[in-house]
Amino acid sequence: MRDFLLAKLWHTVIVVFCVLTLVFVVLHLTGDPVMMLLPPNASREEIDALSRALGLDQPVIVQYGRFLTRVMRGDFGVSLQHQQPAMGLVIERLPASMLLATSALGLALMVALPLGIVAATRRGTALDHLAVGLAVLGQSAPIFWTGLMLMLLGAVILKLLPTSGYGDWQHLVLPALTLASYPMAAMARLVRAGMLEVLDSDYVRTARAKGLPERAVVLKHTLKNAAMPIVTVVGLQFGLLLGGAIVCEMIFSWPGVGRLMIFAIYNRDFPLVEAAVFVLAMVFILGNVLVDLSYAWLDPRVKLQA
Amino acid sequence: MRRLRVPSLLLLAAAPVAAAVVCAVLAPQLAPYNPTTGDLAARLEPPAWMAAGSARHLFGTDQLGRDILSRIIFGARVSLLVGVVSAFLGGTVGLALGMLGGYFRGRADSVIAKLIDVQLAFPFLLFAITVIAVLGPSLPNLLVILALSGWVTYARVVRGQTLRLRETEFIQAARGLGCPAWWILLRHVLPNVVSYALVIMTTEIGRLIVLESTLSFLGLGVPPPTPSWGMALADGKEYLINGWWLATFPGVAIMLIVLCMNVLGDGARDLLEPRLRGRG
Amino acid sequence: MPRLVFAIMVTLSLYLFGAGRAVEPAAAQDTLVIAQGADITTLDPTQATQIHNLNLFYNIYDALVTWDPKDIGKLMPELAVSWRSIDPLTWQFKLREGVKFHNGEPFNAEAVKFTVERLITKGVHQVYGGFSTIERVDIVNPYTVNIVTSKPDPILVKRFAGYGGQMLPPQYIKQVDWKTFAIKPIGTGPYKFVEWVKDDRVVLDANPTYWRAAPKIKKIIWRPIPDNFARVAALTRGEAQLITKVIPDLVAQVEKAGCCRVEHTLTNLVTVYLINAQKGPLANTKVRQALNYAVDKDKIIKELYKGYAIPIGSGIPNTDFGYNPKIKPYPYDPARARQLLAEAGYAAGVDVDIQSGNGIHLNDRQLTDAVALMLQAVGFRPKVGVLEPSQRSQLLRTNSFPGLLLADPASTTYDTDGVLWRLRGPGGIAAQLWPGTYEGTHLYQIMEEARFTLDSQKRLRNYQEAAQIWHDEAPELFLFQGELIDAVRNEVKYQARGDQRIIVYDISYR
Repeated sequence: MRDFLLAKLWHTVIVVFCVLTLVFVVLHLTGDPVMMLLPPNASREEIDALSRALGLDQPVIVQYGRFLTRVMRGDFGVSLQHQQPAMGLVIERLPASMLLATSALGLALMVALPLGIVAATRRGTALDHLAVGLAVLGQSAPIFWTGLMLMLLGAVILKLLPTSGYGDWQHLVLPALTLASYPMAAMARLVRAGMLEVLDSDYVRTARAKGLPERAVVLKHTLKNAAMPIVTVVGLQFGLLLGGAIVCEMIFSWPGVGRLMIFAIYNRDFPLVEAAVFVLAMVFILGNVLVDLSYAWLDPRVKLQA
Repeated sequence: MRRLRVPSLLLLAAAPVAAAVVCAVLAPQLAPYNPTTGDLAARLEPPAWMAAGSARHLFGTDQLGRDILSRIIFGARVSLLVGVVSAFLGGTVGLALGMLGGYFRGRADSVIAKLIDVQLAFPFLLFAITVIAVLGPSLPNLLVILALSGWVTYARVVRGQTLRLRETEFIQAARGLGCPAWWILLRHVLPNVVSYALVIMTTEIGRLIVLESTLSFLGLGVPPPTPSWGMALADGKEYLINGWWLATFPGVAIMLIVLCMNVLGDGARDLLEPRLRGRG
Repeated sequence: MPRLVFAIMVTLSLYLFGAGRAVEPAAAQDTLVIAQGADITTLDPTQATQIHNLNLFYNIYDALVTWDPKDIGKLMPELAVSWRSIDPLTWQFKLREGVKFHNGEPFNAEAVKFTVERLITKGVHQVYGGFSTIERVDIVNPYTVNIVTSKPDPILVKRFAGYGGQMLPPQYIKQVDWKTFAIKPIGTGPYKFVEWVKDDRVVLDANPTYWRAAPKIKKIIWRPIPDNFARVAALTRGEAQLITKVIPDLVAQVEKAGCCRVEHTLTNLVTVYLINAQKGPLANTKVRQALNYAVDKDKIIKELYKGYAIPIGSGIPNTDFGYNPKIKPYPYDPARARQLLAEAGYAAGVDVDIQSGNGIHLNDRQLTDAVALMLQAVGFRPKVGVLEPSQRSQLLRTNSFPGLLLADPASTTYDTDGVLWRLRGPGGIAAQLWPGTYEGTHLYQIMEEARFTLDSQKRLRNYQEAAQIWHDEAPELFLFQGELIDAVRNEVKYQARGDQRIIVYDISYR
């Protein structure tokens, strides 16, 4: 166990280092934030003055070195647009993003589980195709479209829910549903595939032969075995959804990290992008580690390998 | 020789895909108008069967007066190209890296695993914006971006399968006999994992066509005036109420193709499964 | 199993439908919810220049002077009650007495000196450029200041009506620092800052001791809703009572809803395509004129902008000092365009790049697509490019965009100097684009003359001459002067201002 955790730690450090370096390189390749900060009529000397003040006139290697030393101290600098500490801005948005991601995953599971089970237990029939078809439907439209359709239906036509914003649970429904449409499909098929694989196995045949009721067979035995791939996907999706909810956050004015990050990218707000990417990467990796740990709990036969 | 009964569902799913391919290939012959020109005075005309519509434009016109039916037909080119080529590129990369990681284990696998995690942890949009900013918005750049968005899926599955295959008797035998690694990979591993990659590719094509639309929404898609379903859908989102036909027809086209590709993929996997199980 | 699933679905539905009654917020008649297209980035008025930021500044702070809403371009006293020029380099302002900042601090000459000294400090904020002519501030007495410029500046007073002119509280800022001030602002304006939840809302409460009477609207909630459709939907559902930047194609949706109306007015923004005329075919005047003849402005205005604009003949809007009413827009004349191209030697066609952002300006992509089609019809071979905001900024500042670039220059001082010479004159970012503005040309001479003289008759003559030159040489593809389109619920009394500002003090419920 200790070896496993140490190896994971090392792996994490390398990955985060690579991600941060990549972000730094990528950002500096794309342009100069000073251009975005000053109004169009700013003179050459104003631009130079601001560049100097922000340390952007140094050679790239020097900036990179400074960047690394700062990050190791946990200092991600000050956002160029907001003039506030970059990490603070990201942390402020994190709860909203987490709420959206967990709700979306929860909703996705709630729909995917029954769909997948129905599809697996009635394999080959019209019901199977219908269930899978429904799940896939969520994946067949881009998120902005799903979001706008749901908004049109739920808020404008049926007038049941607010159109956008961040407030009580009612504001959460439409964005969460929208964000859930993608992972729902992946999960439904995983549930179906996982159950199919186990439903056919000797293990289950024995249980049936023993005369156990169908429901017990299905729920108790197969679900637990199909749990592993589902947990993997949930863990993977959580990290992806945090940053990938950008479009959803834009449509529904949800104050999350994704939206913060994309406007930071548009404005070349280097410190803010770096802070946001760091946080998202950490959450993603943490999720992965938790998933790996859960394998051991779900299936005692699995030995955690470094 | 077992008789493979091809279910009617698969045939049903193949039809729209075939139709799309026909549209893509024969677009200049099939489309009634030039998809890139339009008359501003005729903008936002509804489809022919509605009161304000006319037979001139079956599916109506868009915000610049261009014929929507023509844009759908020509759009099949870009959408299918984007989907297939990017899926293929991504598949090749993922297949190769997955095989290498799964077969050689150790250092190579560790590096590839880190590559996978870095890719997943790195915000895709930042990467897309950078490529567009540095290299300019063009179709080839878009293909590269999309290809890189999906290779991880193939890599993971192929790696898993390669790990399994590695322990089988015939590969152990081949290694014992002193066969070089590249020969084993090409002759024994590749034929067995390629079918997994192909199945993944069918769903990937669907996902990439949809992703192209999302990128268009963010202004990172195919440069105008090239028509694409994804771009048409993104443009049409401003006209949900007074111009629903702008987005509905490309949206239906995308949905249909994605659904069909998924069915085909599932069907292909079901067909391949017994064969694979036997060997695995 | 299916029964369990069914039960879950039913419960969920009951929960959603039963518990979720129609979500119409109690439209308290003393609260106004305003939805803009983006969140603010700061509450420090020297750190931002975009209108969605500025709108908050105009409500939290006051400036020395402001624009008369009934005659935009004409100054009206605010914190300064009178002003005059006592010598060519000095303007004297008499300040309003009895005004307090929200924290009780008095407004007086100290505050003005503190604010102006901040404004002329380089490299720490964004609005230096508007005040660079100021050399120092002298306090005559607690309610009189002299502002001294380095060269005669005819529009000095107007500068204080534009961005950066908000008066800042010296004692408060010395206590906290600039960073804290940017998130907890204090001003003298009709509304006090309450809270800012980033990307969600900013809340302002009425200032009961405002030096004019207390405001009628007691609370303002500013919400950022980036998506155009979502913003209109918020209005029609009653979640917001006022929204900004309604795109022309959505106007019908607002009006059909019955609850709301559109308020629009002409602004001083001119939409043009800047032309990089340094070399190549675009350096030839005839080619640029051909561009102008090729575009059917009236059709574009009618179809794409639903009539919410007027065509222009030169780069100056009719709201600005120096506007020349004798100049007519280039008529739509494709034959003439083709002829000009042939005369220039391009009868076989010529490549031209035409670029814009995507959502940076109203309908920018559609406009560029439409213009490209029109250019194509007369023999140009346009290559359309879509730029992302930072790229566009970069290309603009380095004057290195390859052909045409969409822009909407405007003067914050309602003066030809601002809309034309601030961009093209010495130190301006578009200074390199067209050799016709370089030092030594006649245009340069008359523009510089007008910039530094206090003789307004001379300035008018020079600017009108400049406008004619501008029209004839066509260094831009002139399009139109646009309208601002806001939408508001019927129970709100609101009129759009030509300077695009939302002054909630002037808004009320019926």
